[in-house]
Amino acid sequence: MKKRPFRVRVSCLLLAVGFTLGLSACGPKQSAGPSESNGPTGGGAVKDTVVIAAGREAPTFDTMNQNWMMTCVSTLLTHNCLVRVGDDLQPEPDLAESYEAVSDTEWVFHLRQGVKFHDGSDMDAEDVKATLEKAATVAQAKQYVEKIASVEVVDPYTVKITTNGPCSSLLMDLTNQQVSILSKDDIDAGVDFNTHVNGTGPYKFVGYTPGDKIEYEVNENYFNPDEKPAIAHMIWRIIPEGSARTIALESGAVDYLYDLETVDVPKLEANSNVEVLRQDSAGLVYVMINNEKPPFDNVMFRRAISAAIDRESIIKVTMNGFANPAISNAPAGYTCSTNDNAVGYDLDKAKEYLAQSGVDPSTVEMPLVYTSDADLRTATIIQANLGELGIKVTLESMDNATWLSSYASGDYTAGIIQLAQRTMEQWVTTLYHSKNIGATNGTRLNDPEIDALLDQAAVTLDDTQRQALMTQCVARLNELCPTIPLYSAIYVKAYNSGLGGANCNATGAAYYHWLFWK
Amino acid sequence: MLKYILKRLISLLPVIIGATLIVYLILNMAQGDPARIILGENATPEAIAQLREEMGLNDPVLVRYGRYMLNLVHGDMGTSYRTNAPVSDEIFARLPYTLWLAAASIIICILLALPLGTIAAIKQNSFLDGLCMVLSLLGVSMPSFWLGLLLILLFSLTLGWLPPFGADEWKSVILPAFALAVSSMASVARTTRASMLEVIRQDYIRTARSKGISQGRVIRRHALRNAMIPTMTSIGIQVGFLLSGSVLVETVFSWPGIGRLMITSIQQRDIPTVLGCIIIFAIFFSIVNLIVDLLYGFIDPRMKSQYA
Amino acid sequence: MSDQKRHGSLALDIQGLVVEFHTLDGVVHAVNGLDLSIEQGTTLGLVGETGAGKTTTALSVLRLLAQPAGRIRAGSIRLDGEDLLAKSEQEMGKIRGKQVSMIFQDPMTSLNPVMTVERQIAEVIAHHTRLPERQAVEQARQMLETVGIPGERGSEYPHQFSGGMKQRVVIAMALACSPQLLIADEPTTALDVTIQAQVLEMMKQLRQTYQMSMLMITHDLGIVAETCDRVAVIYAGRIVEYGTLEDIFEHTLHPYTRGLFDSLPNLEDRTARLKPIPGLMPDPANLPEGCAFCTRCAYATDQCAQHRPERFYRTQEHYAECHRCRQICFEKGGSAVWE
Repeated sequence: MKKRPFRVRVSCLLLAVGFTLGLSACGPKQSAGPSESNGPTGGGAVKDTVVIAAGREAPTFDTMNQNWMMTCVSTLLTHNCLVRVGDDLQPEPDLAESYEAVSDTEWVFHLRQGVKFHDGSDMDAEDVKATLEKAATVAQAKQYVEKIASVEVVDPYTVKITTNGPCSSLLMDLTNQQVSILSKDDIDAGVDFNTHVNGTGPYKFVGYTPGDKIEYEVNENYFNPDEKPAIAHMIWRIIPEGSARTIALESGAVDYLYDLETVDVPKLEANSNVEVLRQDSAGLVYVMINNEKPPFDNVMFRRAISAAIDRESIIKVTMNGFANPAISNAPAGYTCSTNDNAVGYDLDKAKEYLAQSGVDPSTVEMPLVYTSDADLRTATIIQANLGELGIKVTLESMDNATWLSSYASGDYTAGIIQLAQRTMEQWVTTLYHSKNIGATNGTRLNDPEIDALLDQAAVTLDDTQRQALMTQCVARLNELCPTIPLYSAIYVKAYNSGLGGANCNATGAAYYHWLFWK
Repeated sequence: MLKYILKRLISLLPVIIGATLIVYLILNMAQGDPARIILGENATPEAIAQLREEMGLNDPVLVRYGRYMLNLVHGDMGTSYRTNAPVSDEIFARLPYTLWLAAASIIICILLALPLGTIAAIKQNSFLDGLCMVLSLLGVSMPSFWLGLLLILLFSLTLGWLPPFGADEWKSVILPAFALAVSSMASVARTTRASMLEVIRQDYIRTARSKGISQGRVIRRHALRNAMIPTMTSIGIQVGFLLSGSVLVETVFSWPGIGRLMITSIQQRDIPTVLGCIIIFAIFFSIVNLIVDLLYGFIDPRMKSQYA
Repeated sequence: MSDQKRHGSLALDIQGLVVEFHTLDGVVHAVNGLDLSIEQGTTLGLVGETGAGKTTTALSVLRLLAQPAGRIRAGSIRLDGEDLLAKSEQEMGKIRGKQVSMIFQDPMTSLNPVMTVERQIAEVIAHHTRLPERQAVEQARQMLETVGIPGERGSEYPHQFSGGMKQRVVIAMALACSPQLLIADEPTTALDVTIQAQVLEMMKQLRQTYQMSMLMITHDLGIVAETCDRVAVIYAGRIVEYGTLEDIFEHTLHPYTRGLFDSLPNLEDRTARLKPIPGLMPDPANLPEGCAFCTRCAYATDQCAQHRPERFYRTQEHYAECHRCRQICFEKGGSAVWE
């Protein structure tokens, strides 16, 4: 009698397990079958709308008072700057038709004529002046106009910018979304830029449902007829979960994935209704090391660590192969990048460097910080790699905000971090210039040679000369090895094969208004 | 009765003060500088210092808390560090979605759990009893995240019956509500079963049967109502969990509710938004508890005297 | 001998009832071959200790034994000639409350605490007569008046009534559809003595008014004397003695019955010692081979232990199941005056 309830429960359990397995089995089968028929129609019904899915949303639409990636993406659609970034990561004309440096410190910009804001008003030099002057007062935008001493309206379509001493980064600085040109009337009226989105861009802002979607429609009066959007309506949907986003594309609910889980890529590539776009990035994932903490202040020791790390394994495990190994302390993709003096994976060399450093690995404690699941996988491999040298690595989890504070204050030993910047100068200065110790220079590197090279590059207007300086700088960095470079991610986008015009540059930015239905 | 309700609503105040104070202190103790996060990777120390000054982050904690509470009394929940927009705007834009999801979810939970628990009780120790209890246990063991993805795979991708994400149409709420309900179901089903077991052994059930009324009707008209009292407590607790535990489901289904907002705000140390969310949650918990207590009186006349 | 009694005018006729309970610890033999009959318009008292099988017998008539443990293994139960054991559950639903009603022991727990009193009475009326709600409630109120409770109090809840009044409500509920047979399982045991008398009196009157037959289950011989026409004494799931009121009281046959009478305190001689029956009723899961009472009986012999006793009929209507009572009867000579 007592056995019966027990047997009953066991059989129920088995039944339930069977049910669960059956439900799970629904998953993998789908990629081959129904998604082909249920899937994106590839040139089907609705041609005047494109739906793009992204994992995160833009917290605000105020172009200036922010530093969010997604806000910049939105701003690229609705606003223009004086100049914009070309495929080769060099500046090219946008609102400014042409420009030249008339002296070391003076730049003249000739604006396009007949450009209108979305509210119908005309864009002219007054708007540019007002925008740049406002930017100087806003913390997040200030850094891009810091070197500007004055902005002068020469005539309604000519602006002269005078800088404090030669500023080689001026053009690239002006490509940042935080200095998108706003209407002077708006600025003077003190409108709430978060809700009042009035730019000159190819798309007009229509509406925003928090947490859900952002809607745009084509700007009929866009000043560049060649680049006027082919698709009248654009909707950005926010789908935080990667797998859900992929499913959304496969089922045809969205047409373009702004970001996706690399593990889904093979499945999408096999799907004939989906195209996959890859782009090598100019960003870098690396191990930041506190150069002030012994024994990490020892150059040979740092080089030993760099030589001990198997980047290929990391790429396979963390990125499913979607990355390129990096050994240079500044990312590839920039013209002045170089691998001179860089240390690649070579265990023997690592042991050699270790011996040369004179550091006894058993005395070394290396807490390694990670802030995401992907980084955890990377950190685990690093832990194993360094274990072969006899260095004990402990893994420490932190949330992003905590980590930002930690490395700014120098209260850490090592951590995995990533960075992407528009220019090499910006990159190196941010990370390695001694003036940024306590802020963005987490390595606390204080090398006079680097500082000198950077300071000089900042005021060298001639491109060729500046490249040479930077190349020298990077070579020196590779020698010093203040951080351990790991890999450069490959940006992957996936979209309905019925779409054309998909693009992505090495900084991850793309001009979505180039999309069209075939 | 009205006086009772008023008394209960007033007792909300200490709850809100307590909750916000604790959260405020904790968030301030946590490492992580809101100004730094706002300014991003390229922030210079001067810029950060200036922003901190502007945001008033350098004042002592209690002073800032006092300022916040003072504003709150005037109905101002402050400005989000993250978006620079009023906190109340963002919260009230998302609040209806969270409520909608919670309501749908609790309805599904009740519709599933009550029959499961009742059947398990009536057929105690039989195959059905075991099955019902195992099903509800399964529900609480399955991660809602994983279940959510499975549901999307099955109902959206394969069958194409329901939308995979978002909150566009009324159908959109079904899958997320179901994913949420399944985990609350276990607790409610168990409580229903336990209280039902007790109730059907009562003498008045035997009396009702002796009047010639069928088993089914006796359960529905006599047993259920009596068994509801402990069950309602259980349901009330689940509603509380639903409001906060919906983060995972909101993420998987891209449901624009408050749960996600809260997590993002904590990660980015957007203290005003976090506090705003906490206050909303506190109010909800209290109102739900109040409703449950009032329902007791409605269901069981013996409890009416407490409202005198 | 008593075959003539078994046709037509029997309100209830139970023959050879065997009821078992299947529990995790084994099989409990609650009722072991029980015979019982009640003539139309009379009251039968079913007397016995706790655990003798009285309530089980009553529940078997209504077929409300706890499922799935309780099973009616054998026997027949005829209500006014109809075989109840052959009825389907749906048919039983029409019989319970309408043709046979039962009132239970504890009024405090017999009523649904969250339903008004009138609605509980109206429920049985509406179930059997299909009257609309309002009219059913009207009739319910009238029933309340009948049992001596003001009709307006119908809208109150059970916890607002005293124990005695609750029992009246229960009675009102049981009689609402004028059943032919009322089974009362220790209806006054849980009440105060003064209230007991009131309720019993009321029951007697109602029985007259409604022309019902009644099965009065009790362990109290005083109540039996007050209300019953015939008496059946039950022990270990069998009727060990059966007869008219006078038979049982004046011409007690079975040693157990004798023991019951002897257990009553002697009001006249206050100094006399109490005479309890030694020992306990046998474990219904482990019943002995012979007479179930033999371990406690002063007159037991080996034969009692080995063979189950047959019925000894003193008169046509009065019998006892005992080996010895016959001998004792003859020894005493004549009309079996006991001792």
